[in-house]
Amino acid sequence: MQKSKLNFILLTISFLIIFQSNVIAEKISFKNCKIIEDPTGESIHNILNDTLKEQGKKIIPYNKKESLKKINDQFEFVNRTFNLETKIVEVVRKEINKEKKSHESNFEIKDKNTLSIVDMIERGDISTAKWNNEKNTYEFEDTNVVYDVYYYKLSEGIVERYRYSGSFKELIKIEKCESNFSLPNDDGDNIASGSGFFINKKGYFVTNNHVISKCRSKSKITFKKQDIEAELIAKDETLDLAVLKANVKPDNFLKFSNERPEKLQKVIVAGYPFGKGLSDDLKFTQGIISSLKGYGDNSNELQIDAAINPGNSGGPIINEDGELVAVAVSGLSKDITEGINFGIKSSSVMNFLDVNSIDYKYSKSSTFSFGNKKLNNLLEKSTVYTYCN
Amino acid sequence: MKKLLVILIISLFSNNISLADIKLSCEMTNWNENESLGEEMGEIKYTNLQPSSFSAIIEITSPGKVIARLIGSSDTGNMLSPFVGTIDDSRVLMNNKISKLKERGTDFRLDLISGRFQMNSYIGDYKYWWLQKTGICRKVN
Repeated sequence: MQKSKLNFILLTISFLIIFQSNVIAEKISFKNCKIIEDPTGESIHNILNDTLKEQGKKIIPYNKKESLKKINDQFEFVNRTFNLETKIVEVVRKEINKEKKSHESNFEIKDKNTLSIVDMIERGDISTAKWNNEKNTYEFEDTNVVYDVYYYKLSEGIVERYRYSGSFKELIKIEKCESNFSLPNDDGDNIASGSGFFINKKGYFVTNNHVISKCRSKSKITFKKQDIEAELIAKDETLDLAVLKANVKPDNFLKFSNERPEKLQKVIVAGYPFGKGLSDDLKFTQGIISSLKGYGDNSNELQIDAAINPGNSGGPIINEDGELVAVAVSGLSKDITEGINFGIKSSSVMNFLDVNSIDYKYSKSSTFSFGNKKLNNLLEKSTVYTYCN
Repeated sequence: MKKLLVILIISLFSNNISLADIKLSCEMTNWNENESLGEEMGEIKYTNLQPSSFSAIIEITSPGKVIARLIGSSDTGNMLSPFVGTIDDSRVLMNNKISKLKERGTDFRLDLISGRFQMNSYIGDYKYWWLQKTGICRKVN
């Protein structure tokens, strides 16, 4: 009996040691960090422009994309590794044609998704700067102290740097990194999911605004079995439309029907009802256009009897020629109604895309209907599952 | 499993203190000077002021750690800023350094229960403050 008790204690201690060593080994890595916002760079550029203007010289407009590329291209990589046990972050930078450099700092844990560093910096006081000809540099008679605060948003891979100087707080820089960290609900408990479809070969896709409006992080699409982040390009809360861009080249996309929708016209709805809970396969339903008006005489919408369920939102409603007729948006409660569902007319979607200067294609003429195989192929390649946390 | 362990560590280190910013509206009511810079606290010259208003924003950078900015008004002129320090359930203790990290600078103490604050400014390594400003703050929603 005594021996078994001893064994139990030893086993418990061993388990705790193993558990502890696992915990100690845990690290979070941010890889290939790139600057995505550089307000300081823009301010300096504008100050230089003011000087050029005073001198009567031609000013050079600030080009954010080019400026960020120039800064980011200087580095082969910038990586950060957070050791949660020691609360030390190691930053490794490799400039092109230069030696790799690294430094370490202590961080604090702000909350379950955010780490922070408060860095006190003593720097030359600009008002006391004097040029030293021999050393070819500025020298300062006095210094002043500023405070930089870094926030690391773990699941998003974001590094924000703010400078506190006097009563001012300014955003210095935002970097975006590839993070290996995700919050527990990142894997399954998505805040929102829906459907979308490509409208051109540049990776632009349309979905409903309500599919992306509550996202805490960037929306993602599942494309060729990979999860890819998408940038929000434009949205219209009234129409309930959003257009996003993913850095992918779709094999196909949907063209807009150039013909007015007609009652009794046959339509097919594609999408991912109930997200991937049902299955990860694209699903179709079919029906007819029941009315050319939506709920409450909404002339931006049309009514169909093809089934639309949660998760279908943002998916395409097409005609038998494979052209977009509408975007699935909502349905009335299934408890008291049957087959009353709504889509946003393709003409409204085109208006929305036009005002936001986004390319799309429309069919010039309808020639003959697609076969089922071709329709399936078109929709499989142009419809995407979109979700976010 | 690994993700759960990371979350566990983070949860262990971070507690549930609310991390929202604290905004304060303050009034400075006293300006006190210590006339001696010797080893002992000298005679203090107390001056009552017309209440001079300023604002403060205290941001919690991690549980128990803060950075604060004081925003002066026409009453006070520019205020020293920023202050970094600690917070607990009863007080905020912070410090500001103007030109050198090694200098003692100015301490800001705020009693979170009474709202009374003290700003004590030091010269070099002298033990006692040479200038003290006091007053009261109230939280603003």
